[in-house]
Amino acid sequence: MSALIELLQGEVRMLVSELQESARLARTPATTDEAMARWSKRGQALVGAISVLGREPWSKLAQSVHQLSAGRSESLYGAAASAALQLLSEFADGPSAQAEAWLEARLADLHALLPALKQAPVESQADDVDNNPLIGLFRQEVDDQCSRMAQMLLRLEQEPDRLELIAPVMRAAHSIKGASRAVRLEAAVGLAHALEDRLSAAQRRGGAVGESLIEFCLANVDLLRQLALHGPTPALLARRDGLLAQVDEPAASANVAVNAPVIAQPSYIATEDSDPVLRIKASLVGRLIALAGSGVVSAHRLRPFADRQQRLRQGIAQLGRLVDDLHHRLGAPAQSTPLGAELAEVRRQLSETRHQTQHWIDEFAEYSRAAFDLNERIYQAASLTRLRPFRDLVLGYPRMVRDLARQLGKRARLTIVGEALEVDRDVLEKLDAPLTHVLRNALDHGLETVHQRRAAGKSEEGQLRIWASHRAGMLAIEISDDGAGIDLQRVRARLIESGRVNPTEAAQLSDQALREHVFAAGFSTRKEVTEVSGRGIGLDVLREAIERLDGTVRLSTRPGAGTTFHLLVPISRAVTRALTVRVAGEIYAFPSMRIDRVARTDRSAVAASEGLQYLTLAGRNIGLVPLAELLDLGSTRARQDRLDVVVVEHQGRLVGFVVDDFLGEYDLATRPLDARLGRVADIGAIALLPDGDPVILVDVDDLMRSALTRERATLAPAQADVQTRRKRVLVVDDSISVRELERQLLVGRGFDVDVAVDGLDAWTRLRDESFDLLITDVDMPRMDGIELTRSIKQDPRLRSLPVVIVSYRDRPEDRRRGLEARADSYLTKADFQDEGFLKLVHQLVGDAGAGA
Amino acid sequence: MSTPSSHCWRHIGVYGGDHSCPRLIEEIHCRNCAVFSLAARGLQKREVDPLPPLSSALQSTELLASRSVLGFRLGREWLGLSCERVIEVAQSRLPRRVAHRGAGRLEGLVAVRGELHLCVALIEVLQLGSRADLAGERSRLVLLESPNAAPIAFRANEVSGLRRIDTASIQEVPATLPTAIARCLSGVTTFEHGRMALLDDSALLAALEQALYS
Repeated sequence: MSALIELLQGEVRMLVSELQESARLARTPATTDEAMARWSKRGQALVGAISVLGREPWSKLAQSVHQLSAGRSESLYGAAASAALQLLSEFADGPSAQAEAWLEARLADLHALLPALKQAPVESQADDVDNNPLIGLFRQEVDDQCSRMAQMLLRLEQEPDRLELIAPVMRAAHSIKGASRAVRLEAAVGLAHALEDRLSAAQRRGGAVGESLIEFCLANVDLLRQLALHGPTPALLARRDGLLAQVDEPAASANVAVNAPVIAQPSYIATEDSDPVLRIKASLVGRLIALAGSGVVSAHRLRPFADRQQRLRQGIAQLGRLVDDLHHRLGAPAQSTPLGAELAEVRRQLSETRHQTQHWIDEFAEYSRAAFDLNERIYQAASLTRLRPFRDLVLGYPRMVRDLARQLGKRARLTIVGEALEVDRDVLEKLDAPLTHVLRNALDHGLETVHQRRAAGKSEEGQLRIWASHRAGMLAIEISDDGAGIDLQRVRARLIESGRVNPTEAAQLSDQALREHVFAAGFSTRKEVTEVSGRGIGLDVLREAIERLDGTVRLSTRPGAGTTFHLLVPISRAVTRALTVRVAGEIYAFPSMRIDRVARTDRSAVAASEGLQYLTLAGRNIGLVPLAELLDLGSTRARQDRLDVVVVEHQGRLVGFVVDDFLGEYDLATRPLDARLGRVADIGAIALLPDGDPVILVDVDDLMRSALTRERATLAPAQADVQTRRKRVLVVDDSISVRELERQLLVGRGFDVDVAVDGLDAWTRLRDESFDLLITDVDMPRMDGIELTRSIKQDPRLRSLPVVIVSYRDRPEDRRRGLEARADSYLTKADFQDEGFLKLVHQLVGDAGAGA
Repeated sequence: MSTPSSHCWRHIGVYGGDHSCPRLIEEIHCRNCAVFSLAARGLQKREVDPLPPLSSALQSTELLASRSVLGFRLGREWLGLSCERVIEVAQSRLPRRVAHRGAGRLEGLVAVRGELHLCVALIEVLQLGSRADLAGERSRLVLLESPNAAPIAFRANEVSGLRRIDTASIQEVPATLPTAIARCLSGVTTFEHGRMALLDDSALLAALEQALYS
């Protein structure tokens, strides 16, 4: 244990000095945030290291030190923190042989320190703000008002002599001032007041509104939003002081070009709605839609009843015919005779029953039609709650474009057409990143500088346009710029340069093909990485994002004139057309859009080669993969005589998934799988079939990857028999004490143990040597445990290596991340203390092997 | 004018009276008379006498010391669950199995009233049997509320309904019960089907959540 203690002391010594450095940095406002972040990281490492001691009070001390980073920066250099670091420093510098005794002796000091560490200095303002139950509403209101103000300010910037636009901004500032007073956020009160003040002065002065005023107002609005969100942190307060110190410049210095052309601008200011917007919890809406959906299902179930009634009616008609027959057979006796009279009565009653039954059947048919109609309407209406106007997404874009352009020293204006279009909420959310990406690209690469534009005879201000419309049931979004366009010849040259395509092939590439190449991964015509849009174009990321929405993206460009991106996505992600299939007795579904074709074929048509089965269709070879086995659901229960295959294409490859049976094609209202399951491989979403049965949709991209990996694994040579040698374990952790502890535990059990200091180190070792088990931490430099696990599980050779993550992160979402990366197990450092760890190891790899 | 308490309808009226009331000429029958209806309304506005001694029995503290539980059976063991946690008891249906999760305690997905929920093999978590044992006409699906998360369902062999358990009758968990189930119990009691093991809410939910991860 003493060697371990020495290692630990060394580590603690280093961490303490880094923490002291962070405390020093925290004193300067400029470096406060960075200092807090560093303290947090080092604090976490400290917790990990101290946990090796296995002593609860000391672990608590380390935790408390770490927690300080969640509070105010002053606490980092406060008395309690310094005392704690001092104590730890003494531990680190003491003789290792007497460390145990020392720890016992100083327990009293530790216990005195703990309460002091927990006390954060009280700043009544911050407390009031955070404890106030109205704070949620306040934040919402400020957010709304600030969005509106920003929009109006931008408009004002475009039309600086329209002083009537000032009033609404002042009104908004005024209400924020009042609300801030109510929640006692004094910092915001001052800011809002300044805003009101300056605008009022501008109003009184008359004349066009100056650029500097707009800048001041926009900065003010941003700061208000930040204050509402984060409270009066030192950083924000400093910014406020800086802002308020700016002197108001008179309008004379701002002679804005009054000759700006007055074109009919598409308005991007929301007009007051006569149909107000409500705030409803998403869960309530979800429940409403689910109930409405099951209402439709219930209405559907009325159909069999209607069918049965038809049969009843037919039965009665049949009965009537039989009685008529009988009447004839008996010689049609007259009604005056007893037999005749009875028969007549029978026929009469039968006729009456028939009429009544018909009547009731008709009534029921009408009822069930009405019920069906009503439920359908309820469902449609409920589904509409999922829609939001396109405007909600693009609200902040004009501002972003303006600011970004300035950053780049260019001028640009964004106009938006089709903002009123209703789009599914989910689709809207997922479009944010791609659209922002394209806009940033257009600004960075597409638009020329003011100088270049002037030389080219273009207007100094670049025009960007987003146009949203409905096209053939899909949402079509065009993002265009009037910049330099993409030089396809340069694309060709780059392809040759980078060695992707040889010169002869490159010469033959059509414009269309060249445009497609622009979307290829890692392709770039730029040599440098810019802060604004990253490396080159990066359009492969864009394409992936759009494809994940089951949409398409292409571009058109004219050299010197500009580029347009054409996006086409399904309006509603919520409803997916899918083909349901039976797999090992379960019902799963493929999104129809991703199906290349379906095939029902004779078993005799299947060929085999190198352990793989394949089918030839339309001149192409399609590798066959049994879906049930791939999904670990059991075995495919296909019929003897035929095979049902779903063929899917991905990046030029075709794979045929063999299923038990095709069932039908449906429009499914999908929802996500419960988050607590983590990310389940090969699965996309879940849904309900019209008859109420659950169905699981496959994630086609994932499925293709799994299928191709399986294919590769089948082709790889079999593993040599490893029963007789000692099992090897690789332990990865950046803390030397933790590494040593784990190593000792495992060596004690007879394993052969190697260590690695971070993810990258481990990855290199794994590729060169073979191990039976990997134990890894999460937080490590260069490559963290999650990334390492993911890489391992995606590599066909290493896929089967058992991976155990051991981390002191014990929140459910951390565990989920680990499981999502497909780790075989996730242990917290707390679990680690007892036999649990060794039991798990035994479970995963069995005994250490010979010589143990 | 007679006051309501004088029951004029019985003396000078129609109900056993001598019909001498002058208003009868106009009203013909007492029931049409305002005096009569006023008297009737007066009845409704009477002061209520204090309730008879029976109410004091209802106030006895014994009734407060009891719990309402849902009794259900897993394998051969009857269990009780706080009814506050139960959202619904529905027809049992075979869950839709989820890819790659066949090895754990997650049975799969079930649909209840248009919503999809996760179904856990509680019978296996508590080691009272295997999920194959859960067939049968009387088997039911129980949907439980999970704090701060979506509900979780499990299948039971039988559900006997809500029972009121007297707290005084609850005894300690016998040491003979295996840990897998004992750690989820808060006590045992008896009811008409014999012994009922009472589940501790939070321990049960933790066990169910745990089953989702494995």
